[in-house]
Amino acid sequence: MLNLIRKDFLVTYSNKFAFYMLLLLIPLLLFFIDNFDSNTSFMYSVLTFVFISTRTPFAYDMKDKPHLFIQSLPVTKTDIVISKYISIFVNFLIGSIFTTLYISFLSLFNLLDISVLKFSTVIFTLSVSIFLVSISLPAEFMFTPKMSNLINIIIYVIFLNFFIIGDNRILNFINIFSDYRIGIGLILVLLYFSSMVLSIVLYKNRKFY
Amino acid sequence: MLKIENLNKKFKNFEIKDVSFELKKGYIMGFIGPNGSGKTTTIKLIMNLLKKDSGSIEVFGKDNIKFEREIKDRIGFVYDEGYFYEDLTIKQMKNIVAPFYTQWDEKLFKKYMKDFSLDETQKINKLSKGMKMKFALAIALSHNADLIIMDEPTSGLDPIFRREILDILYSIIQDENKSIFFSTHITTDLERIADYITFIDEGKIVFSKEKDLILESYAVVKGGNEDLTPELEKSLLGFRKTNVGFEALTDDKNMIRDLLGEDVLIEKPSLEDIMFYIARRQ
Repeated sequence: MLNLIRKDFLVTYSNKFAFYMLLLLIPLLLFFIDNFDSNTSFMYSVLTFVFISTRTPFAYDMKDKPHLFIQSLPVTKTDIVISKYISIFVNFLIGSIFTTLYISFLSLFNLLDISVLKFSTVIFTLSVSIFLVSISLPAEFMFTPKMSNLINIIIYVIFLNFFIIGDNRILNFINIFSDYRIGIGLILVLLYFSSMVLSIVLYKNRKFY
Repeated sequence: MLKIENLNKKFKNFEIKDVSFELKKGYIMGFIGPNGSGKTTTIKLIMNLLKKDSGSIEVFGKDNIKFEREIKDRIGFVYDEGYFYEDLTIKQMKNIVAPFYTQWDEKLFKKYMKDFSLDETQKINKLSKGMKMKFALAIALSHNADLIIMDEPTSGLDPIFRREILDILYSIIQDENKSIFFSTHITTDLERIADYITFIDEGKIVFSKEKDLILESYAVVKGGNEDLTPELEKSLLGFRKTNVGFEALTDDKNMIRDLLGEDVLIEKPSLEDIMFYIARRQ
């Protein structure tokens, strides 16, 4: 399992394009968001980071079909699926560290203020990351790489528009989230594991050519 | 080593039907058949890339699905194409693969890199098809696998590369604990190294026997068109007529000799002859 997570990490970060995307483009995008503050920036950056990191290994499947090679290694399809779901947390952690450091750096120039970054934003971003990846991953295990790529980009764009871009939407959502923490938390746990089981079933029954 | 019994898998326009054969320890089995006959599908079923409908697949005496991880740890698998992460270097790809195997042998891998003249710093997308195949072989051979499974490893390679790969396979099999199962439609490759031949056509096994026995039990018959009577046609496994005469495949040399005497030529067939006539008849 750890080897699969490590494999995805190496594949994502050995790709120079993905590397520049993650390190340069995301911070630049922060400047295009209305009501630019540390909380919105954190969420937008980490969510994009998690999305790109999760998608990059699948993007290779479309071009080189390495998923066929990976399946010849001593791993089961269940291992492959579970590793992707665990990677959400690894990618979230890396994305959060990177984004916090970046916001701290911008704070030195008074462009952002790291001190206003709330812990509730971090928890909310983790929850949204789990939600986003849980609804997008089954498509990766069900459809061909091209089709799943298209579906997931559509999900991502809709998602960002719905949650983040707009007048104080994120703050409204964080407030709602704070009021119903336990209920939303339980729904997320249920969604996460249901999505994982669905992906395992889909991947086990998928035909590989 | 590898035992398949009554394996079935149905698709819309094609099916694998009651496939059964066995590969014993220490032997090379060639898996032949025309394009689209079911070779790759059978291999994908062995590797659990496809879900079987029914039947059993045992590798090292264990069910290939229940003991998937343990079994794949002892299999060296080579596809017809590499299916690697092409943007990575050989070294990066090796670093990804090596930790998955409990018996990865770094020294052996380095030896193969040297033998195959592969540069570890080279990007995979810069390698030729032959070089990629050598890299795939190096990976398959560097974790002390007991069973090597290869799907069309020599297709698209020039004769020099093909001969080199066959020599490597031949050297592996000197260790009597290892076996090789490889599919190909280039039957001349098998005539050099295979001990057993399994022939699949339209999803069904035509035969799975010792190579020498197969070559002895069939014969190519050549004669004039006037000798090719309707009765003879029926008794042949397959034939083709040209302006100058006919050529056919039989599994009963004595019957042909009794029927036509010295008027016809009876020759030893190649595996390609056998595959051609039987596949055409089916």
